[in-house]
Amino acid sequence: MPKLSDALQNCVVALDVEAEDKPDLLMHLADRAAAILPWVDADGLYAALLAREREASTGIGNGVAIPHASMEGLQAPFCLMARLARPMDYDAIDHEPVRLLFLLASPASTTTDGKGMVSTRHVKMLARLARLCMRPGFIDELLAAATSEDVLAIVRQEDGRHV
Amino acid sequence: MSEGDRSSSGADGRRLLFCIVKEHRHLDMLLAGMVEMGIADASVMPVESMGQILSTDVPIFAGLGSLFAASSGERYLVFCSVPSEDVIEIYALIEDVCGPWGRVQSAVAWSIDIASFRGVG
Repeated sequence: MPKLSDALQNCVVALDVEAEDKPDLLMHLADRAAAILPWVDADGLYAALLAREREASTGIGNGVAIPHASMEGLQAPFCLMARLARPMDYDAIDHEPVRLLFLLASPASTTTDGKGMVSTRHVKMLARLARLCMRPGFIDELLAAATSEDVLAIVRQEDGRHV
Repeated sequence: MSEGDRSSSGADGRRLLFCIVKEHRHLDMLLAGMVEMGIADASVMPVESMGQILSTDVPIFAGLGSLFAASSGERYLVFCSVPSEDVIEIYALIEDVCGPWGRVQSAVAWSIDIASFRGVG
């Protein structure tokens, strides 16, 4: 069973993130990722995230969103975990404001005719993130974490605890 | 044998897995976990337990639902064809999601050999 370890090798945690609205937030997160992972194209990531949100919101409920993109040109999967300074309307499935985001991006697979497509690994990591977020208490622990290191430790611990 | 026809008593390496889940949140987590394992399709049916039906439909059992294991509440049957070598891992996933086997509110699961199989699965 794949775990999040691939994405967590390139992981950024951002606490008390301020943004006006969803596009502003996604741009901020894309810039943040690119500032730390130089092989990330901020503009390309922002465009991919926004395009995905236009298909359907990635707000999965319980104050969590998982904006994600599968992109050509990425060297490796990465994850950016963000905790917002204030809850934000995100068109989530339960209509509740979002406080925690797990931005996940992975290299796209290539079809036989050379087109990019979402990789199986990306789908599996999305499923794992979604499953971890359903575990009772996990989100509350992340919301209460004092530091970025604590956030990452909680995610690693939860990821390692489950099949 | 036509194309797509894989016949043998489980020798083609697939088993039919059944799982009864007794909470909707467990169902969501189980299906997400199955995606993690690379299982791309499964059928899910809301089902009723023997105790639910007896205690509501058969007057002599009215009010005796508690006699039957986990006779109340929602439950779902998940079934899918899986590679034989994945069954143990799926059992571990089910236990991780639903709790230890043997608890009334946990899941039950079993698998059987598939004698023949046609189609994509």
